[in-house]
Amino acid sequence: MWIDTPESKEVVTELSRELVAEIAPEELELVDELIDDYYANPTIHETKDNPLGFGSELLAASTPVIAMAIQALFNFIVNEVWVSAQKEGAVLIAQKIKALLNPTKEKAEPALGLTPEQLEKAKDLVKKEAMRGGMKPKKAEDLALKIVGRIALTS
Amino acid sequence: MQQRRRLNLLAFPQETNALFSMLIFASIILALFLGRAFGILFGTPGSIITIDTTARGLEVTSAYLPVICLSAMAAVAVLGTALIFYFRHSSEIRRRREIKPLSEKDQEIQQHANKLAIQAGIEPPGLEMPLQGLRGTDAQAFGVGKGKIIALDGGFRILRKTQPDVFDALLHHELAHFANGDIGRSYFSDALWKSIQWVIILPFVLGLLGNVVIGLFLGVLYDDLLQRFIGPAQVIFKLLVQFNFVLVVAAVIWARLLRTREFYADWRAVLWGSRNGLNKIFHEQTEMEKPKTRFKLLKLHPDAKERMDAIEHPESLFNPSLIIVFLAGLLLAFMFVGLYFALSTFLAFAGVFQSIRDSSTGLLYWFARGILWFGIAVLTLIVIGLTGWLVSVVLLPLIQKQTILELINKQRGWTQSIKMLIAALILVAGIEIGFFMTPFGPFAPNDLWGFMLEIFITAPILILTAWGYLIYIRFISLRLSATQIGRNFSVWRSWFMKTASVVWAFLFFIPGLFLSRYLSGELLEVFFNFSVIWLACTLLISITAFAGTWAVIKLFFDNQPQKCPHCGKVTRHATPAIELCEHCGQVLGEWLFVQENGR
Repeated sequence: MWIDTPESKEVVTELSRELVAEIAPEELELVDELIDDYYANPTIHETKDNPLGFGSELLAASTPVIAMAIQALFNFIVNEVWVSAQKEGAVLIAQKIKALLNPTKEKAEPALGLTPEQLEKAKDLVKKEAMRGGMKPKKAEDLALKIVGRIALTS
Repeated sequence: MQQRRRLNLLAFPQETNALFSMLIFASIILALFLGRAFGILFGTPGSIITIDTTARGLEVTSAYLPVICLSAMAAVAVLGTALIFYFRHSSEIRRRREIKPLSEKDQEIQQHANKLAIQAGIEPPGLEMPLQGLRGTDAQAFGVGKGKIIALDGGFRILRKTQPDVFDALLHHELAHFANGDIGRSYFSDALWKSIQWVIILPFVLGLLGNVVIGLFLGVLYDDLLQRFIGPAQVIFKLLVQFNFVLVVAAVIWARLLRTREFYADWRAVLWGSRNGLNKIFHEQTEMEKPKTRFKLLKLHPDAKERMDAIEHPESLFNPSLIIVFLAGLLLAFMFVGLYFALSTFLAFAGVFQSIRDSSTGLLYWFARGILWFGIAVLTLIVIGLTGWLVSVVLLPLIQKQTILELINKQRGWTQSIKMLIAALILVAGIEIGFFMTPFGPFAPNDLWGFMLEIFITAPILILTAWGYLIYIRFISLRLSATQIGRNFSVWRSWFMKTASVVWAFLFFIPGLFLSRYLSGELLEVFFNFSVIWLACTLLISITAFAGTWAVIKLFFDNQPQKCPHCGKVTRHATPAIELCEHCGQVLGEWLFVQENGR
């Protein structure tokens, strides 16, 4: 599937970098390292109930969570909206997704729109995924709005 | 850098010390419980006092020997297995967390940790992390003996660059565990709890199940055996309830120990300048934490909110814990029952001496008899020692901290003493429940009359005498703490407080508790008379003791004007320990306060 391709990874990295610049600028220098770490082990870091540990874990970095949320969004778009587009080439899909999420850079590409219900679903999904990854609810909401805002602008 | 004055939590013995000793004691009680439980399965009667030991001689001894041996073996096994688990904890943590000593690329983290440790005045620990990875922010201090290690998650590689204050706070917290001497206590407690699961719970459950299955199987085949099986079912059920109760008590102590150590470590990390870092962590955590429905007493970690509150209001850690008072009451009851069983054991051996007398010379008989009484004396002294420990190490520091809080909050008058009645009530409730919940409940009333007597006569008298003790301790603590100035709490004052506390407890509380256990049976009249004499003495002499103590304090501790340790001028404050010098503005009671480095 397209989401497992190097093209997808490239888009995730690029979009993550842009969102990190807005949400967690202190991680900007470490984005590549963090994304590599995320792809090396894409599962969520499980907080173990360790009675002899510190007891309160916090999110070490937002970048992997942002990448994870974008990945989940791609899944959603591919599965629910662009099922028919699976027949198209991976490069074409990458361009379309880039166009959808980044209207200023990819103006030449044809943009595919999402209905308001789908946008709402996408927002909830990103927020839920970000919170699952350990992001604070407020920050997760912020991230979801930023991502969905981009899509809405294109639509 | 700014500095602020904080109450010194370590001016008093750490609560974790008391909890650690309490846990060991509860574990031994559980081990003895196991022996008694198997005694039932072997068909040994519950109370040896009901048996004429001298008449049945060796028969009794042979019946009890397996129970005694099993109890002793279980106690040794629990502690021995705990020791094995304890020594294995380092390798276990390394295996579970997949950590290794830091590689060359992570040496900066080690250097930074060394710097923090040296600034805090402790020996730099070794750090270990997973070789790869940037996730997770949990840290864990561990090690045996002088080996001090802190395990870090991979996320610390990122935290150091993105949130250095949080990174420092987490390291300070773990370093604080070393400074507080938590590592041995925490990991041995953890090991003890694991040991209880393997050495006590498992054999107990298997033994009980085996007994039920075999009993039912034989009962199906033979009617008379079914009757013999159903007979002790009630005893077994009661035993199961009692066993679970003591188990829960051990679990509550263990959980509280783990929770308390975190407050102390946070407190020290704040002193080292990590208030902001810790607050940031806890603030984020409170936003993420979902309300937990788990029974609070068994929580292994305090909530982020509780920790944040303790950082902002450390004086809340001086509030006396009623749970500890209740646990102290329970353990006091367990000690009495322990003494009872120990005496029973020696009485069982009396059967042997009876046989020896029949078959040997008088000299050997008296030698054996001497050993018997020596054993009884030693056991009695052990129980007295344990009771003294419970009073001095558990109850006394609680009251001391309470009085400090009263001084700080300017709470004076009789209302505070009246509030102590609640603590007395809880203490006696712990004692009474303890007597009901120890194996076979030898000191619990066994009929309705005994129960009514216990609830309406004995318990109220005990509550009043316990209240008297608490008021007395509060009085001494208030007098001696309020006027103590300087860097350290005087050794003499501390010694006087402990001695007065133990003397009062052994004169006016423990005898009443002991006598009240025998207000039934054949010796009712004798014990009733003794009880009346004790009560009369308590009422009369305790007032004299109160006045005498006041005179001693006035004569030896408050006989000279207090001079400021900084400027040497006489201070006229009535409670100088909590005040600043009116001449130089410096802290007078330095023992009670510490300076916090702010960032």
